[in-house]
Amino acid sequence: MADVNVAPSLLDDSIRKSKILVVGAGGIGCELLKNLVLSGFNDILVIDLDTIDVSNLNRQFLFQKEHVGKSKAVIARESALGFNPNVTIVAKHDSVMNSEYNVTFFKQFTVVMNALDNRAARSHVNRMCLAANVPLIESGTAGYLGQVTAIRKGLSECYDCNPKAGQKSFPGCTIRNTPSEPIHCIVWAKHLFNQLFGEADPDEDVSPDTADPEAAGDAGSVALQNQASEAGNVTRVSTRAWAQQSEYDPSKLFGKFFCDDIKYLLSMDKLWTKRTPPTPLSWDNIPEEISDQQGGLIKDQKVWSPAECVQAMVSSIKILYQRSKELNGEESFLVWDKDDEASMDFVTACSNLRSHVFSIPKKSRFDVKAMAGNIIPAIATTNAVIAGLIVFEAFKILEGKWEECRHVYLNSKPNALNKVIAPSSLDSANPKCYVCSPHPEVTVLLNVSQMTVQSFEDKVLRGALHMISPDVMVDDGKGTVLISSEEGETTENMSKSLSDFNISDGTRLRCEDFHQEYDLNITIIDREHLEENREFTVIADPSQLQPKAAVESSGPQPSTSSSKPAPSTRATESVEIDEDLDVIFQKGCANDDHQQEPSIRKRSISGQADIGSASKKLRLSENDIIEL
Amino acid sequence: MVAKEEVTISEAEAALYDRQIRLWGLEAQKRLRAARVLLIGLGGLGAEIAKNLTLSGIKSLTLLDHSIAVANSANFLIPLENVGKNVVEASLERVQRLNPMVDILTDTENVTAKNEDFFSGFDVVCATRLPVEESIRINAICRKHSIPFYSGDVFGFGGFFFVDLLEHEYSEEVNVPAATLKDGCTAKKNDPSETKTVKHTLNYIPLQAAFEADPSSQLNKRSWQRIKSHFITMKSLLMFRSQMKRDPEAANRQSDIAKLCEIRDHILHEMKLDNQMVDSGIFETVFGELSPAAAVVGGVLAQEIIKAVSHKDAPIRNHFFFNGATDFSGVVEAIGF
Repeated sequence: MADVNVAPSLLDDSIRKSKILVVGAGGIGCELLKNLVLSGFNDILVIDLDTIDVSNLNRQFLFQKEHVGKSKAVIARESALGFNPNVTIVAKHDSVMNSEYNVTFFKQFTVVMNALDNRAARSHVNRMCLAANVPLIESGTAGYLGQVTAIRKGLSECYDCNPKAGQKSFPGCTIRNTPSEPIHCIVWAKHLFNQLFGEADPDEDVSPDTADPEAAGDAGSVALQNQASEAGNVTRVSTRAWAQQSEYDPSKLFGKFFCDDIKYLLSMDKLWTKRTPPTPLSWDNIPEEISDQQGGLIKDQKVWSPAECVQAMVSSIKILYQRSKELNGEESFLVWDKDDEASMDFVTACSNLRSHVFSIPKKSRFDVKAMAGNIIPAIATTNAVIAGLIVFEAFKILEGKWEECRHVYLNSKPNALNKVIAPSSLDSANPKCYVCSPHPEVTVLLNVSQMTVQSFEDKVLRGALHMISPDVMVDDGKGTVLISSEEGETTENMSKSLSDFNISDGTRLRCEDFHQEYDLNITIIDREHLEENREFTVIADPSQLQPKAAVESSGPQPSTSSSKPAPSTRATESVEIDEDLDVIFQKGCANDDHQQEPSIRKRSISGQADIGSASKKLRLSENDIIEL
Repeated sequence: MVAKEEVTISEAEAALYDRQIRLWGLEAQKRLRAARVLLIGLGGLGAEIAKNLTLSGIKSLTLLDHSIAVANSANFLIPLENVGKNVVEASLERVQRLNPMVDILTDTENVTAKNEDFFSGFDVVCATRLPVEESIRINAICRKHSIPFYSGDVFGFGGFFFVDLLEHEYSEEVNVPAATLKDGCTAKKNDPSETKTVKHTLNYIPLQAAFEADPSSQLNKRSWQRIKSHFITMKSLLMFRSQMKRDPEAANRQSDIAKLCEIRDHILHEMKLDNQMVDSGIFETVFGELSPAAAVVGGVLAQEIIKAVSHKDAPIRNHFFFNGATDFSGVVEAIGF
């Protein structure tokens, strides 16, 4: 029997002459590299900033146990060469968002194939491919579900034509005062980690929120005369500084967070008229609970008793404190990592203790890890199918058969047409797309007196609008430069508020990202307050704007609608979705594979601020949704 | 049937399988852990199935194939230096490296020499590259021993598989509407809807009955329209293999296409559907075994095996067709019922 890969000769020729960029060497990337090499592609560049983890090995089959810790791109290349040593594969252990990969870089490729798991990188590559006019095949998987689609400037919609729903976030007072679900406690515990050991973020306060509108009238009424409680008030002493005073004595930390602060919350009576009030815990009297859980579980799936939580809290604090002492420099801090045992133990322990206090069901470390770390379940077969479908789309593009390109969905069960692999026609570009339309425009609602230039750059331009190195001018007839991508030029502007530059309701800003060859006009609408304490809202279509209430997308939008609101990002305590979480919608919801923050020094528990202001941005970035 | 009671998951397995345990649960993983699978035929499709099953953590995978490894194969498990050896021996090392926790066994005998006793030792049998008569024989043996059976193939840009799970019990999670708000609760309503586990049973038919069926009269008009091209192409290819004792090959491209058309016309005639229903253009795309086609078919098939072993979620019944050159669809249909 002939065992030969035979494609019709014209296609074969185009394949052999093509140059392919594969962005990502993870679940989809490994399968894709294998398919490309076997299909006769012989000039491939693969780029991935990540290193190999043991949890990758159930599906990223180019890696074995001995490769754990090494660069995914490098090892993927090595393994793929084993399928055909005569192929040229260049591996880059790097972030595709680095300035080195400019439009000229992208222009050298015949097709770009994304094998990513985060929205920011997808958005960025989308822009680069539009600027370079190179076809892009976009894809994603989550559990049993997957999608593939083709993107070509002028011929199809681009990645940002349909704005994605914003990331899930919770109001600050829910996290700080009135949690009702395990996730609230988990978010709180992660914030506590950052307050104690990591980069403190004023949006991640863990102490009671006296400005809670629900508690109005109680603030300061029955405050306890307790030194710890007063010292914990974040406006006076930072949580970290306070903890250092006692050298991170666990009993003192415990006393503040699970006893004194709780008593303070209890004094805010109005919060508890309709809710179960919290019960403070006492260090000397930790309840023992008989475990009634079934056997046969993985160790991590057993729910800890409060006593076990305290044990884990004590031991993890010891380890984390030791680690933070070993760091050099005053600016040093730990970065939370779900795969770091002590970090994970700390969050599990603290979130469960808080859950206990608030009579919320407790969660096992296994479940906490998934929620805290935004783990997306992933298997080999889904990635294998999607990678195969990517290559079929590539064949069509190489043959110039754009009309045959499809948006293809992998379903978990047959749809109404009995299809588990269901193609649908590509949508044409959104004429008002804030990225690919001829004159991109968005409107941003914010408070001009409160929003600083720094926040505007980090949270709006980079975080929500996925720019890399923006230049911003105020359209005021004077050409006032608000932000310059050249280092040092506009440093003194950063701490000022937008209103300091006479930016007011209706002011237009001209934003340019030279690297992405992306020009965007932003109209500012001044709003004193936004829904749910949000710091800003981005709206793609101004005709959607209603007078007082901001319109924003809270879920998947039907792709047939031509005007949709853009995602809004909340600055208040958001679920700390690590940079690389993607969510795919398929008449239901599932999530992509999870990766670490896109800094080159992955898993640097003792990392310094790798990317300067960008590191803060990374924690606030969004879910990624490829919508139907 | 795989028993799960005796099986425990070690910490190392929990770490390795973490991302899939979070998807299909620990019970399913334990059932996989006890499954002994026989995979017949290690071409491109077989290699994909072998990879996917080995990664999933089954107990053992027996690779059975008497053929010799050739160059330019879609079987990526064969290092170049092993060309010329038997395919399963040539592939063994790479398969085993995918997951040291799975027992990988090789058998270089011709499957036609295998008798009933041989097959009865497996929990699942998956056949590729076999003449349909041989598949029918093996399926009958498997039926006798209540063993789930799959047979599949990839031809050029597309492929298909058949599955017989006899009488298959499975459970699935269904959504129930979210509980109504507890009274007086001021908390924002965002409780996830609950799920509950529901059990079902599905009945399957033997391969012989399916292969001899006439779906043009059994299926409703729309279903038949949807699969007729897939079905006719599949039958033509399998009958070509049986008659010519080989698959269509590039060296004989034109005459093989002519032969396929002849076989197709015969099939249509037998079905009393003599009008030109299947464009002969499709036979241009059935040569060789394209890697992406093997990846798609192999991915779906392997996941079906995982479903069957774990008794979780509704399995496909009883045919799956994929074509990467025509409708880019993966279609399911019940044929022969």
